[in-house]
Amino acid sequence: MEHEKFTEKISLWLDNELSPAEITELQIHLTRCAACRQIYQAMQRVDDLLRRAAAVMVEPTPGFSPRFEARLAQYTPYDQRRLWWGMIVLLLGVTFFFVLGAALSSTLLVSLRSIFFSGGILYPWLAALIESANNLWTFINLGILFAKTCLIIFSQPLFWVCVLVAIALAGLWVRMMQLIYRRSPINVELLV
Amino acid sequence: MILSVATEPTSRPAVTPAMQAQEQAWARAAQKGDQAAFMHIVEAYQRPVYNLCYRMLDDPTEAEDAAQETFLRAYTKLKTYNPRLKFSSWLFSVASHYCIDRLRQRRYQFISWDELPPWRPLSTPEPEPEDATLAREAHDMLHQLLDSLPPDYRAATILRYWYEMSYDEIAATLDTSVSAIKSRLFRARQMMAEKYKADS
Repeated sequence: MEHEKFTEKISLWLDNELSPAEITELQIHLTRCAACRQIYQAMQRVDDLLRRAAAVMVEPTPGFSPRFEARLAQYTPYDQRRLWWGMIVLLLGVTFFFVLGAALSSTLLVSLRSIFFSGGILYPWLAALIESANNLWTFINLGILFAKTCLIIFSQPLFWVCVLVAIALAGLWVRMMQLIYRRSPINVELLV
Repeated sequence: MILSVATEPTSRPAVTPAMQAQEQAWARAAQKGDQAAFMHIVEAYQRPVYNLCYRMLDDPTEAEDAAQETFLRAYTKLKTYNPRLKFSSWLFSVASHYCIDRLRQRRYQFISWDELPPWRPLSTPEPEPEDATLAREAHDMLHQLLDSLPPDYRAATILRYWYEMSYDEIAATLDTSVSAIKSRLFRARQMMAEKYKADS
């Protein structure tokens, strides 16, 4: 831990980020600690190597700007194509999730209707409900029945298969949108 | 024993306020759709951007592609540039992030034998002058050291040494905190020192 503290300070010293007092403290430690001194010497050699290398800026081959201009000229139509593909995938995704949502909600409604209105008669049941609205126990029973219905639906393996498929498809859709909108074209021909 | 560190700055063309004002003017014009103004930016920055990409990717072909991609991304994202900030820092940020992503993707790429560059002997049959040999060894060592670093550490190291950026500037360029940059530079130096000791 003590060594770590001082080796961190060596890095700061190489960047001229230490105060004179801290430099003195570090220098005293380095004269006493062989392990830290070895690290310091290796770090300093690496620092020298990097400083010497940093004096050289590598240049691109001549004609960089014209090559970029050509690439830029090709970019616009490509970008528009990406936009169209993105719109198509977006529309397909939205339509799919709308249909899926409608199908799931209709399944739920059909299941609830089949339990609540076994004869398919809505209004007498509603009238009975209003009549017994003052009866708290009726509401509790209805609540229990509703919970049971939900449990029946949620315990169906098919329901969970549908949910998992929907999640997988949602992930796939999001990834496709990312690929379409985030990846920029890499034109190999222009590199030659 | 004398313990000291090299503090002299490496020779780097200083960016004058006039140059900065010119860059800002080009950036503002390019933001309004002036492609010629953007081409001035490309002319002015092709060298430092290419150098950054080359030091990050260690391959001239990939560096060319990455530098071109950087300018393309800068052009398409110009509206997100805040003129109150230094244009060069914003441009280096685009380049650094692109190269970091590319290095991360490299780890998961499979290369077929056909795609590998043609075999080249490590030593040429003709003897090299001593200076050239030493320079080549130093160059090889430098790339081995940089290659041993994770992409984030490598970017921080390159921005520190080749572009003489302060901790604040590196943090702003790499979208992170100053303490994270201190830590990255320390870890990078530690890793490179260990590799240097092991190799020499």
